[in-house]
Amino acid sequence: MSGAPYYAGPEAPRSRLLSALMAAAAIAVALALPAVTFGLGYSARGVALHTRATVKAELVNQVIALSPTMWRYQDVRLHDVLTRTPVERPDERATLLAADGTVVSASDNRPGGIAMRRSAPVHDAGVPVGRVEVEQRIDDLLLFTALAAALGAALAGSLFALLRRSQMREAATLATMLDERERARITLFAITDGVVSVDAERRVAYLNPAAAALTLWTPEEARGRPLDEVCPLVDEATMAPAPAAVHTAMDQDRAAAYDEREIALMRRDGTSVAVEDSAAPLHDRTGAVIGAVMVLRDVSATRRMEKRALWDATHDSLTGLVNRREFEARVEAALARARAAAPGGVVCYLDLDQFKLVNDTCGHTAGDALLRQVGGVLQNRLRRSDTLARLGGDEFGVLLEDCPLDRAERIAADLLAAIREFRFVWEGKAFSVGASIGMIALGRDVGSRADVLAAVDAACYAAKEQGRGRICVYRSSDADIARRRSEMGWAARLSRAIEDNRLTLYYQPYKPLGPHSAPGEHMEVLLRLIDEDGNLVAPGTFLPAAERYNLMPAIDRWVIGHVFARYHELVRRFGAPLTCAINLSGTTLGDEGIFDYIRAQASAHAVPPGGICFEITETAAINNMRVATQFMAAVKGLGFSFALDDFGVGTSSLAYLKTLPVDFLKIDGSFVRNIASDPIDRTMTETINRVGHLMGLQTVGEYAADAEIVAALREIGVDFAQGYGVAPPAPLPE
Amino acid sequence: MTDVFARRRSIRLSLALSVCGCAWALALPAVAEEYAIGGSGTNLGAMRILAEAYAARHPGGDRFTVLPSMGSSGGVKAVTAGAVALGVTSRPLKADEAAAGATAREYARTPFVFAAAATLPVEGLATADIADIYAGRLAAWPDGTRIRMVLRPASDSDNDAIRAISPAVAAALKEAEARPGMAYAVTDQETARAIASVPGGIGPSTLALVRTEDWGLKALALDGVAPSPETIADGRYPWFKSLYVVTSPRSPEAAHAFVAFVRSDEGRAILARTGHWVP
Repeated sequence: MSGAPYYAGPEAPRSRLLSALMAAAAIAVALALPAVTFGLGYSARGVALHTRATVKAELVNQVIALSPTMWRYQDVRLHDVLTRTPVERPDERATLLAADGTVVSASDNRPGGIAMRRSAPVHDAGVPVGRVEVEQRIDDLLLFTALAAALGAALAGSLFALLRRSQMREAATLATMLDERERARITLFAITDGVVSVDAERRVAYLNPAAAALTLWTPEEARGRPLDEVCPLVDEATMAPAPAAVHTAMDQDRAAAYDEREIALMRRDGTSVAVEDSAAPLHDRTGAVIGAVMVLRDVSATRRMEKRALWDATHDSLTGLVNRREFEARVEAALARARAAAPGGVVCYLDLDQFKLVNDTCGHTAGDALLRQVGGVLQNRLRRSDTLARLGGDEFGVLLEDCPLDRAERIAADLLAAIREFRFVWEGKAFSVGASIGMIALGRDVGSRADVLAAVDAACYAAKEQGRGRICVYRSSDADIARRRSEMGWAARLSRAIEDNRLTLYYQPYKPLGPHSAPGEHMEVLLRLIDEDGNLVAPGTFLPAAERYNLMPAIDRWVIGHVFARYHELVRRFGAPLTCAINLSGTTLGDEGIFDYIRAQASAHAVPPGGICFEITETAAINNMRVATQFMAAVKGLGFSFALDDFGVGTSSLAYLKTLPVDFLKIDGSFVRNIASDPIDRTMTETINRVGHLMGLQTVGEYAADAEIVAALREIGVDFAQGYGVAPPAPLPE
Repeated sequence: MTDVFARRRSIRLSLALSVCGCAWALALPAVAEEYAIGGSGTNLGAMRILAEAYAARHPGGDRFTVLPSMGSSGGVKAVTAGAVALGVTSRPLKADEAAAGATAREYARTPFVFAAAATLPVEGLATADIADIYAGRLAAWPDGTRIRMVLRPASDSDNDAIRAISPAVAAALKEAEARPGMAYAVTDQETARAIASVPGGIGPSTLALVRTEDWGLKALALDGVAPSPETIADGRYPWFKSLYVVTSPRSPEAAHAFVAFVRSDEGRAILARTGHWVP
């Protein structure tokens, strides 16, 4: 674009010419009015005066005819002629002059001033003998002329002012139009949307730079060509030709847009670009459609973002597989088809068995890689029409469309086999992975989508409980699955119980057995639930559900909060020093905020160091070794201790003892229970007790059901005994 | 333009002088000449009678022809220019006329009158009537005839005489001159003719004209005084016009002889008989 003023050029000379013409017109009016006034007045007056002179001359002629020798002495008669025929005006003077110019007779008036004069000859028998002169003042005519001049000047001024104003208005209008045109031009230049105008024959009349860049046609080349040649549009999905909105706009005489469809512009070089097009008709003054303007917006980036957003909303970012929400939607759709008597599908729920081991020992990065590779392994075994989804954690979902159950079972078996054969290698170490699969065949009687997913989840859990690496097909008669579903019911009841504060605390003391037992009172705080009917529910009933449905962190927090709050009250009741043991689930160990919560509660209730001992199970600790180790070290920094619960039933537990910073080792009740009668259990107890003591730990024998067991424990050298033989669980005093 | 009569006399005189020489010419008997008298119409009737009497007194001698009225001013101009031998006026000379060489001599006075047709059944008027007639307030004679006042041109000396009657008459005259449709007459004779010919006519004139010219007019008494030489002589009738004979250096000797005749007893008798009072 040029920086020169766009309104320069021929307008200035034209304006000057117009101004000159207007001035000339005004001057003409200013001069014409007095000139015409004077001219007409002077002429009319001259004619009248000449007529008067002629009349008087004719009458003088009569006097001369009657008295050819003495006419010039007919003073009274001549005077009468001059003054009364016709009657002399006050500003008029008539004079009769002889041929030699001498005055023969004259009227008495002395008009003076500026006068005009007209004469008529007098004759004697046809011979001129003199003339009658009539003069008349023309002051009034001059006055009129002056007034006319003033009026003319005023009119001229007004005319000039009007013309000038009109010219200035026209100039302003022109400037505004040019300004608007320039703005429009600049706007069209600057706008990022492509703008194409077409004529009535739908041939291209104009392309802005953006349109030229989109179509790869230059405006000069495009001009006059059919729109569909310059801007061919296609359906982006099918690549079939799509009519431009211009045609609708012109055919139906209305603004039109095709933003509902995903269309693309086929560029001149054969590539395509995603666009949205809209168009509006152009009208002439009569309202007839004379063309249209089409706007092409390059939406390729937007459309990519939309697709990406859609993909993100329906896919798992880690594995690239369909996510839970999309999976549920597809299950819903399949369920709808199944209800409509269409061939049903099968939904599978797949849970990896060793994922946590890899994740904990090799880190999240390895866990993520494992999930991605497992996803790939599974995907390779599925049909294109099937859906593989990552539902969260190490859980996968599979929707087998139009697939009978027996075939689905073969596919599931194939999947299990593939996973079994798969080896995950990380930093030189190879890991084998197992999985459990729950399955359900979709049909009219499977209930809702939530029912389907709950059922297949339960089936998967049942498969795990049956020994892992198995496939469990859900059938509504399965007792295990029914129990599993019962747990699902418990999960809801637990949530309500926490909300309704229907949890309550019991305690069971440790009995010190030897001189090396840690001083002070020791008790384990136990959890009970009061159901909706007021009955006490043992933890074995609801804790599996709480573990399964991730409610343990909330329950553990509830217990911690209440014990810490009541600690000093318990001290007053049981005496100091008092150590309250609180159970922590494996899930709670992975709860990121749990340490901060404990620290806050300790600070809030001034619980002294040594006042709390957290019990964690061997399994929970081993499954979350890295997290558990970090958590325990931090909590021990607050002065609290740890007990490893149920020790001895797990595998490789002795090796882990070296890395776990525990203070108490609680020997699992399965050994303690029979130490009086079973030498193996007694030996196991003795071994564990010895190892614990070698590591500087205090030992606790669980399930000390009677005095005999207590005595045996004392004999072995166990530091504490806990069980009905010491004291049954009792409500924690309020 | 040279007057015809004057030129004729001049040619004759020039021929006589050139042919006979001055001395011989003086020895020859005088040739009878015809001279013109011109001027105010008031004077003309009496002058015509006097000229006839003069001719009768001087048979074969110079004769005087009275020209139609040319007004006092015309008469003075003509005599000054030598166009007439003798001028007559009904007013004194103006300064410029005297400066031009004219010399005037009053030879008589005649009552200024309002004349009417002799058949009009009215003999006299009051000056108030005159004012009413000019003003249009009195519009008809007793017999019902519309009164038609004949006006004179503004420059005519009759108007001065009329205005001199009374301020009311002067004001009424002004009104009459502004009223449309009024009859005007330029000369005394035309005035007399108009008065006589127009039904109900009345207008300014002189007793001399009424008596010397046969227009069938009569002079109306004013305020009960009949106009006559006697009544102006004794002052009972105060409205009159002085009449003059005017000569100039160019007037011939015959003119002076005629003036002398006018002022002679015979002339005075004629004047007295024709409505003049010779002071």
